Amino acid sequence: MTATEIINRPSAAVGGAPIGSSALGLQLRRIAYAVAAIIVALAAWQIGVDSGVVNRAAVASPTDIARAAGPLITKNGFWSAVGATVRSWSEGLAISLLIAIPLGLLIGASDLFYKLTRFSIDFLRTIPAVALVPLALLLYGATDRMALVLIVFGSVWPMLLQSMYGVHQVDPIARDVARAYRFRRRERIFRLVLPSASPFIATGVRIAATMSLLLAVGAELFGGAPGIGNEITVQQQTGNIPVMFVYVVVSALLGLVVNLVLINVERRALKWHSAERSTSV
Amino acid sequence: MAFRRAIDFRLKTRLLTIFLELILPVGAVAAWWALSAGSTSVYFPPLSQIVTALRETWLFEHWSTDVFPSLENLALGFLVSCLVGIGLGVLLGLLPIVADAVAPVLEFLRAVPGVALLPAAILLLGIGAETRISLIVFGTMWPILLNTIDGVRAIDPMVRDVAESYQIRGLGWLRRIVLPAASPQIVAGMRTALSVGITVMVFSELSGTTNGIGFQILSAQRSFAVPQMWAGMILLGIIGYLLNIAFRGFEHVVLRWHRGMRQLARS
Amino acid sequence: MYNSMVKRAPVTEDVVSGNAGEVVLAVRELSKTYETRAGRKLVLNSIDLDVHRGEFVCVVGPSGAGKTTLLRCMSGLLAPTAGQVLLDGELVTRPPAKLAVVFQDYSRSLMPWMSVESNVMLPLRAKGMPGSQSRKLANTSLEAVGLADAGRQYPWQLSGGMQQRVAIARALAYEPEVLLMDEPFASVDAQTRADLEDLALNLRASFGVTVVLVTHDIDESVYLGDRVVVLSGSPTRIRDDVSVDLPSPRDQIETKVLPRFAELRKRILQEIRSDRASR
Repeated sequence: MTATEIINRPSAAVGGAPIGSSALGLQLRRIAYAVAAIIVALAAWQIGVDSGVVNRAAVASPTDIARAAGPLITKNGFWSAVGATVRSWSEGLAISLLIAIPLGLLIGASDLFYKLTRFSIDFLRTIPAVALVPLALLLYGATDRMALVLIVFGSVWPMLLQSMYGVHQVDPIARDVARAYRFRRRERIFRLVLPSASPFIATGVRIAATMSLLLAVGAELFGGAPGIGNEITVQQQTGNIPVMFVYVVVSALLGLVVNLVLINVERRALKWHSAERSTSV
Repeated sequence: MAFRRAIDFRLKTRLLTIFLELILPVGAVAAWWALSAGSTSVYFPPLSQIVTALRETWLFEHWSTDVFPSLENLALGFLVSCLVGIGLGVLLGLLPIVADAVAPVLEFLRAVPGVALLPAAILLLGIGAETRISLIVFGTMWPILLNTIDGVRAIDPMVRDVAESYQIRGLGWLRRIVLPAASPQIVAGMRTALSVGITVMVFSELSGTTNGIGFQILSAQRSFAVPQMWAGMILLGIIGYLLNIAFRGFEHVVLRWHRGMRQLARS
Repeated sequence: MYNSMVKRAPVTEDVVSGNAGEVVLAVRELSKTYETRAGRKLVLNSIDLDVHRGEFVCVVGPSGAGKTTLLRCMSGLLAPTAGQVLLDGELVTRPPAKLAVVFQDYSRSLMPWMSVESNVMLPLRAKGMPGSQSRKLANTSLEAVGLADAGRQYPWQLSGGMQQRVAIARALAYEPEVLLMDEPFASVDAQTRADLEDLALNLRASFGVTVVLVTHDIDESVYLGDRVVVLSGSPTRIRDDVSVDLPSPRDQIETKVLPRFAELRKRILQEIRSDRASR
């Protein structure tokens, strides 16, 4: 390597950006890459179906789905199905929230309750909620109630466990401070425990929200309760594969939207805590 | 004297803890047994019948035809998932620009509820084990993949500096530095993947199959063999619990260093 | 095994007084510019430095003077914007095999998933040395830094000073020609620092390795060094190159009460002060 080559070699930046770019330029470039990746993925999917590698009778191509989505969105049936799913999902989530979080905080706070319930919780939470579909069908038939029961049973656990865990994560130093200032129980709960546990509770809510959407669709698919899952079965049975896939995509979009909304709410409400939080699934 | 008293105290607290932990489950089971003993309800048969069904039907008749194949599928699917998820995850984790670019695609795929793909999977792959294994792979891959990417990206830059300064490269670098450094995150992903896997295993058998735990539970329900249905559900609970304990044992060994480190940081 | 580590003769008076002659590490017109959001920042401004075989060179400078940047360029971890670094006449473009680095943050530079012994063995195994040989070398190294019994423990179970010793043992087992140390004793308490300083001197004397040590502690630089290179503030250049003619071996008590020690210290401190004042 000659001297001039060395001088012209770009710096192996320690935290610096490539020469000649601004922060905005970098951001745009990242977005461009992501868009490119999406286009590549869609293209690969399209080519796979068109070329016959992936059986058209089973998987619809992006263009098929787009074409089917147009007229579908105008139909009432579509929106009532989506509405049914969203309704049972939100009702189920709300109920399990009201059960799981107070219970979780209580159990987490009391050593006695924790010991009493540990085994049972450990056992019950490993039962996949889908396993309850046959029982729920037996008891309630193909109704909203069946979906609700399933959703509540399944989504209670993440929030319960995260709330319990969150109570244990209270910074011992903060706890000492509360004791030194002689907080009363109520103050302790609302000013110490709840704020400290809130990021964990928030994570639990997010996991539970995803799970309950899955269970809602599952209950509809297997149980025949009205909703997106049911539509998927119906469309598959009548051979309307593109329409079926529209519903699949819709269910994914719902999940994404829910997740994004929750993440944003979390970030805003817990701004003060975000410095201490780690990112994980 | 005081020493002996100290041991007694620790023993007593231990026993007390075990006692407390077992009261509720044992008591609940006993109460269930007693309360359901004279039951004539179709949906809630006596616990004794359920236990009999569990012993006779499930543990012996269905073991090799249903339970074992289901677990086999789960194991295979989980294994493939780990290989693909960790392999791809390490690659993407080391190429952050690529990882950022494909992130939206991955997030979308992750958001697809596996349940929703079941009909399509059956159409595509038929009603054999491949369908179920593929669904298990699809469902379990995302937590492992995404967690691996996160874990590799979060590797302390100083660790990479040290590796570079001592000329540690290639396979040895991956094996001795990258994978262990990311292992806490990866194992967390595997833990999530396990419970997702059990769920997918069950629902993949609720439709379009001819054997499996889920299939048998559904059959029992359809033919109103209610004790068998309940027995199947309880068996699932037991299997899930045992799998979780096994995984915890695995985690215990693999992440011993991590636990020790964090315990020290806490004190 | 001890013999295999003593590749070079123990350090002689000649070397200590800077008459060794042979340049093992050469820095020529080294410059480094960073691109930041606010624009370009010139951190190192054409640094020229010769390090002779067996020397103990200390580099001091005010905070933010780019001492770490200089060390990273010298070690090959960072590519300079201009200029070159030569080790034994060969251009340094990535970390070379004959050079080892000891970093300031010991807790992050040791791998927590490996035992102390495995940590020290790691670079040896990576370059293909068979297990038994690496283990022997590692244990000799650990003995040399006074941690003969700590092999099976994990780094996070040890105190800060001991962890830094492990990092030093790891560097030593690598059998480098040049040892670069980036403020290695800044994160330990004063008593431990004194012990580690003496350890560094002993190891240099026993194994004849050339040492470049970056520090912000002026006393330390005079105590340890055969030479003290004084850097200016950013954009950094070399302000002074002070030859330390204190007698060897150094002693924490005796050396530091010598009038000459105070003189050297005063000179360097004044340089740094005036540098700060002129900004």
